Amino acid sequence: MLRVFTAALAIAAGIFVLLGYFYPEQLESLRLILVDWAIIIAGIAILVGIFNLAVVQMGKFSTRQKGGMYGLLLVISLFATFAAGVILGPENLYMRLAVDAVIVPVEASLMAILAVTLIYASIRLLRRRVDVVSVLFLVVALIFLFLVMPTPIGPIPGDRAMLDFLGMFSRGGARGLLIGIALGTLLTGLRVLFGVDRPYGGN
Amino acid sequence: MAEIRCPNCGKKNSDLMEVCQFCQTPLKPDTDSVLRIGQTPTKKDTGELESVLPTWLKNVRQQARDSADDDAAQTAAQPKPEKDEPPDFLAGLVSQSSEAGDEEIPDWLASINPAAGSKPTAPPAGTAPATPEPESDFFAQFNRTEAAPISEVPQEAVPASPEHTEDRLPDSAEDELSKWFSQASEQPEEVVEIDPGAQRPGEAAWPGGFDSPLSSQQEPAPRESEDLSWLHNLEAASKETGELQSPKQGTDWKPGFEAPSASSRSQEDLSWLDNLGGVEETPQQASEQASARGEDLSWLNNLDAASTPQPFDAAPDKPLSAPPFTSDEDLSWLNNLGQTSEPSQPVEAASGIQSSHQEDLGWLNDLGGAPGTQSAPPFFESKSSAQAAPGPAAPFEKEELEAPDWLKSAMTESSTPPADDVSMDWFTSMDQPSDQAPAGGTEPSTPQPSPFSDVFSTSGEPPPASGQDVDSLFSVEMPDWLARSEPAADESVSGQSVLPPAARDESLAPVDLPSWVQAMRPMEAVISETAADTADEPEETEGPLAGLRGVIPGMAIGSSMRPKSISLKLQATDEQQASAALLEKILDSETSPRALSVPSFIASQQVLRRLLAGLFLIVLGTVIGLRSQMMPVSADLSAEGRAAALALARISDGARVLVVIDYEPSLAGEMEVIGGPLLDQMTLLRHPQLSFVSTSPNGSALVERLMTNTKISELGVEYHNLGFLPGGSAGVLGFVENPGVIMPASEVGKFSDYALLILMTDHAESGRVWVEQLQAQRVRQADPALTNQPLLVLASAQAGPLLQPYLSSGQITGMVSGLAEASRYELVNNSRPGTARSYWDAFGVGLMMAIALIVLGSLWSLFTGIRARRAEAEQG
Repeated sequence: MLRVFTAALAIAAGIFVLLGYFYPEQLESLRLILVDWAIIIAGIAILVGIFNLAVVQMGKFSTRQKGGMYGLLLVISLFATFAAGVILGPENLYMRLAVDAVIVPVEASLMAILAVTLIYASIRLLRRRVDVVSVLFLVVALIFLFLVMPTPIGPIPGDRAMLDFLGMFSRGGARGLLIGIALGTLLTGLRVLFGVDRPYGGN
Repeated sequence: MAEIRCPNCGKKNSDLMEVCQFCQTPLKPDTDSVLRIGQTPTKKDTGELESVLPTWLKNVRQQARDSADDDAAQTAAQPKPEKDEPPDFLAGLVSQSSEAGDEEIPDWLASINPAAGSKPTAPPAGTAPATPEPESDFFAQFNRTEAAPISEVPQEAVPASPEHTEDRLPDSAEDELSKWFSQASEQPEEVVEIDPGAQRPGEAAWPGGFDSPLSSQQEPAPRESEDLSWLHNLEAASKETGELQSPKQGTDWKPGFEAPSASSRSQEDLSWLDNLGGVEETPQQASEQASARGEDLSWLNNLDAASTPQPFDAAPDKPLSAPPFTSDEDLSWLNNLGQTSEPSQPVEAASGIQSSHQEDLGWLNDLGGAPGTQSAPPFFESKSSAQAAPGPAAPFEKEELEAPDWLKSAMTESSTPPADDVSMDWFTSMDQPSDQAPAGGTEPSTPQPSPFSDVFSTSGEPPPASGQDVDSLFSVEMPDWLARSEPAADESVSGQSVLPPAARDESLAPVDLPSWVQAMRPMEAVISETAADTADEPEETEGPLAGLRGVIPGMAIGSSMRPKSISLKLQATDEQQASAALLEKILDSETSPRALSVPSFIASQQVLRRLLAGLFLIVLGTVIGLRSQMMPVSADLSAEGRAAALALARISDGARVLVVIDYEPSLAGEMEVIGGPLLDQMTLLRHPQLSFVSTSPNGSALVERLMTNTKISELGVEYHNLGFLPGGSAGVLGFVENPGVIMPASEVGKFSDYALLILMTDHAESGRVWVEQLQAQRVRQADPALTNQPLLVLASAQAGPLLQPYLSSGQITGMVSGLAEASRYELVNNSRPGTARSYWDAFGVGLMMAIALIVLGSLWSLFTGIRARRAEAEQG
């Protein structure tokens, strides 16, 4: 019974939102209400996610699992930051210090490691796999890097033309990806409207 | 012309022909008669096949039809029996005999009853159903029934019997017996339909024994006169003795059974004789019939007591013959009837299953010697006793006087020794151990009555010798093995120990067995063991196996014998064992842990990574620390850069500008470098009111870093951080449709109040969402001002290519993507803030190093890979 109710509710909401675009005068207010409810639910979902994260990490710590200490550290940091942000505000110096000194450097360092890893993978590519695709990929990557690379002698002649030419392939591929994404999004929406997919737990 | 090949001879025939011109076989199969799967067979008349039946079968069928017709007619004309009359149990015999007897009524019978002679086939329908005396009526039935079988036999052996009876009949015209004879002949014959196929040897229907011979179509008229002849003899004998004045009331039916039963018995004797040796010599049958007549009546006693099982008929198709024997005591009433005082002795069973009894073997001794010296066999004795009673015994006398040739030959040329040979030498001559009882006959300690002996004789009487009966009944040409085998059976019956099969086999003459039979023979050791153990086996004391040893394995209950222990050891050759050992080693090696050799590959990977990381850190740190600016920057903006600059120039002063922060802290450095020049230019030119919103939770925390690192905050610009916008696309939609409701801090009534929208993102998904939601509002024209609202995108180098389509479609007004474009834009913006320029040299050096490392490393990897594959190929 619950499955049927949830499915019916979800389908009804989606249909009203969709029909609200076609009948704005009759259903726009209902659509806006439903959209507002979705925003509120999404915001609450983030808080629920954060709460679940804390519970899981505390569970790991309480059961003395491997990495339980890190879970405890995470929970402490979470609540401390949350409290500081609520109390001090996001523009406070200490809050900015936490962001500037911890969050950004950590993620930036991970991005730097990614760069080194990509170079290393490029170096090892031909050792692991030697075929046309791998060689072509490697050559194209080098060309782009070369075209973009600043040189002491100034820009490389014809770099713009070359980039525009090579950009043509990238743009075409990007369009294909976007079209595919759009179609997939449309199909997913229809499946939800028809009750085929029930991401809300109706299955 | 097409040709058809004959299915029979295979020769070719024209297709126009229906039958083969060579073998007259139909060429064209009858398709209608071919039955295929799923089809229902068509019912056809089997009478159509009568033409293909053999001649003998046709005759039989014709006779059957005629008899059936006669029976039907007789049944219709048969009067209903009166209630006063006793039940006529053998009424069927009358009809059966009448169908064979009606066709040919002998003269002597006709002289008795002219009416009967004038109606050979059809029953005398005109004659009223008389009410004769029960005896005469009964005898009349058997007169007709036995006219057929009896007439056949005496034709050769006793041809004068009918005449003799006829001569006697006028003399006893006033006799009651004659009277009922004549009356019986006038009565219509009963028609009884007999189905020979329904007659089974083992059935207990004793009337069937009477019926079967009568139903035989193979013995029609000739036997009829014979039956009547002995009957007339019986009559004559009774007249002589004068005892047969009136039939006994109590046994009214017995006399009725006597004559026909005897006559039928004669037929039955003959039939079971046929079944024994397959001999159908009518003289032998006639003589046997005549000789066994006195003893045949004894079976009637058994009929009165209980139903007796019929003897097994070796030839079921032939008429079943009743056991031709009686006990001495049972024949007493017959003796009274037929004025015989001597009981008849039982006749040996003709089935071959006989027990040797010394008393009955006496007559056998006479068979081997001169006819005169031979003692009369039991049936002959009974015959003689029957002769003492003139009436019933008269037929026997006649038979005895004129013994058939076959009987004479049996008596003279019997392969068995004379019956008076008490020592039973002929048994000993069969190489049997002479442990026989004297011929005087002691009762067997363990009598072993055969199944048939129980039927034919009482318990008090010993069963007759099997060999002697066989010899007497069979022809002279009896195989020796059969004659020799009888002594072995006699010995067992006499109560002696049963010889083991090996010992019995010794009595048989050794015969060269074919190879395949020899191959099937059991091993000699088993036979010898079996033969040796039989002596230790207990002797059976009761049942049909009485006196035998070793028939049933005498294993005691709960025997301590244990089954032989079977060795579970597998018989394997050396080669197989070696292969098994090798397999075992392989399996052990699979399960046993092997030392894992740490390849140098993993160590080299870690070294190379650390080396690369160190190299980049060192070089780039040095370059950055030196603040070198040796790498020139181009001032040629791209088209999307120029469009962005142009869009900034079109906004009014103090306009509200929404800046969307949708990048992660990991790319904050790049994004701040990319966004710095544009924001700085906009701030310097138009002094807008900046509103920052983020669809990422971290975005709101990056606003301050952005304002600080881009030095925009130093310019005294007013900005508002609206915070985090949840809901993803729904949130964007809601904010675009009604920003004041979703974000009350936005301080705008509608989204079109923002003069410019700047989107700073490091992934294409965020850009797509904003572009799509804005475009939907523009299409809907809910707010026409949105149509002219520019959208500028500040994207990282990885997101820029994916947002190019939106740029090409005009959904994005301008875009600055990557450090290269940002450095150019910064150069155009008077090198403000200058962050991009500081990263430019390091960026260049880093790219150079990356390119160099990739090229060199790829070449080295290629070389090493080829070498490694060659080595593996050589090893493999």
